[in-house]
Amino acid sequence: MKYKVLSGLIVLVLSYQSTFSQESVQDRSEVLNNLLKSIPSPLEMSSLIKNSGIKFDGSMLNPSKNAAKYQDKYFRALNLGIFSTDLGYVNIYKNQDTLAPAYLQSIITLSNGLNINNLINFTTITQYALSNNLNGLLSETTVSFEKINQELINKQEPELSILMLTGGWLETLYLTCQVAKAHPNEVLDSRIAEQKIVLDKILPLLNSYKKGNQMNELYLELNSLNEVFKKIKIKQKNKADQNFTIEKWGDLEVVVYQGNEDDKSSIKYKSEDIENILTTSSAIRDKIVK
Amino acid sequence: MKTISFLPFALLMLLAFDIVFAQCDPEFLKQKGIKKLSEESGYTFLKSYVVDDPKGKKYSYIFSQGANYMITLANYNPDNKGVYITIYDSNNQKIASSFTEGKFFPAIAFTCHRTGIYQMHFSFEDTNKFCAAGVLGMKR
Repeated sequence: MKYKVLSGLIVLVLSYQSTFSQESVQDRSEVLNNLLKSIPSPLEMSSLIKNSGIKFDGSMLNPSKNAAKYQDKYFRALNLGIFSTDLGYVNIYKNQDTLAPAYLQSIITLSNGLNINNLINFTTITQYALSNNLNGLLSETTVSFEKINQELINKQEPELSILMLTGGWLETLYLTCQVAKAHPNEVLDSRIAEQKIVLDKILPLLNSYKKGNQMNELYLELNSLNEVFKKIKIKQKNKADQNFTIEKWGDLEVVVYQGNEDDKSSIKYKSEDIENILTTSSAIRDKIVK
Repeated sequence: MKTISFLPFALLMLLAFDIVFAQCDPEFLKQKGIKKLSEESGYTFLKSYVVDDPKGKKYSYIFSQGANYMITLANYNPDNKGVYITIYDSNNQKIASSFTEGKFFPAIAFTCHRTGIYQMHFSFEDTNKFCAAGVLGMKR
């Protein structure tokens, strides 16, 4: 009888532990997913560059043929992020006929190398590209990357998700800096300076999930980039404006908040700060795409 | 006798469960949200969010100064009744909501004047279908 009670208790404790650890893996995965979702889409900067009237420049991108060079998981994950930003830039400029298939192929090559293939719906993406459905295309590629992230988390390799995110962000910063250098523009400089806020979110993630010497080195290099960003001061006014109108946009009723121009945050930086960001971030990127 | 009287109750429970949970297809709702975003105003898709918890869901995003954002909501109700979004700025001050003047609106739009981390709270109200999607878009 005693033996039966004891066995029952052991089974109960084990099943509780298993449920608990499953829940904590799920919680951790949800927290990480939400953090990944909070980082601005690289499309925002590509869109800003395009709307500044600056012409497409494919020479800035990591050449798609480089995909085959990357032989370990660290470089594959980082460059998967870099190619995803490049693909977004290509798509925003609607260069889907020529460059987009090449960048998609690079992404597939790297995904295969990371054993996360079959998550990209190439057929649907191609259909959207051919029918010039930009939002369909962007949504499908974003969904593919969300599935890749989830798969990496499920496979207990969340550090690869963080590397993808870091690569994507670094490429966004690099492209914006290159464009700002070639076409000096105060708006672009301000958006570069504001990347301080994004790096502040990425660094703790890298610190929590870093694995091995390569990631450790990357973390230290991004910390040195953070030192450059620390010279930038962003001040925000503590005021929220809730004036809104209800407008009819086609069939859609939209609550439109105008906000107040005077509420703009003040961003203080010197031109040499932007130059230092360009130099430091380019050096980090060069080591990744080499 | 007890078994017979328990059966209709169990069937009723199963039916209720089916109504509340079985028809949730976030992918379908996301596409509905994207359609709203694209059709009306030339916004570019950025992110999509699934809301499938009766308590609602919270997501954060770094909105960028000077950009115009739009968030569309989609659920199984043709007039979007039952789901809404509230946005809080980095000082935790409410800046926008799609539930206003006692009405659920299918979309909100705003121009960001301060780059920062914003919180998006998706909530359910007056509904028993806890399945919705939000789609974020942007234009310059």
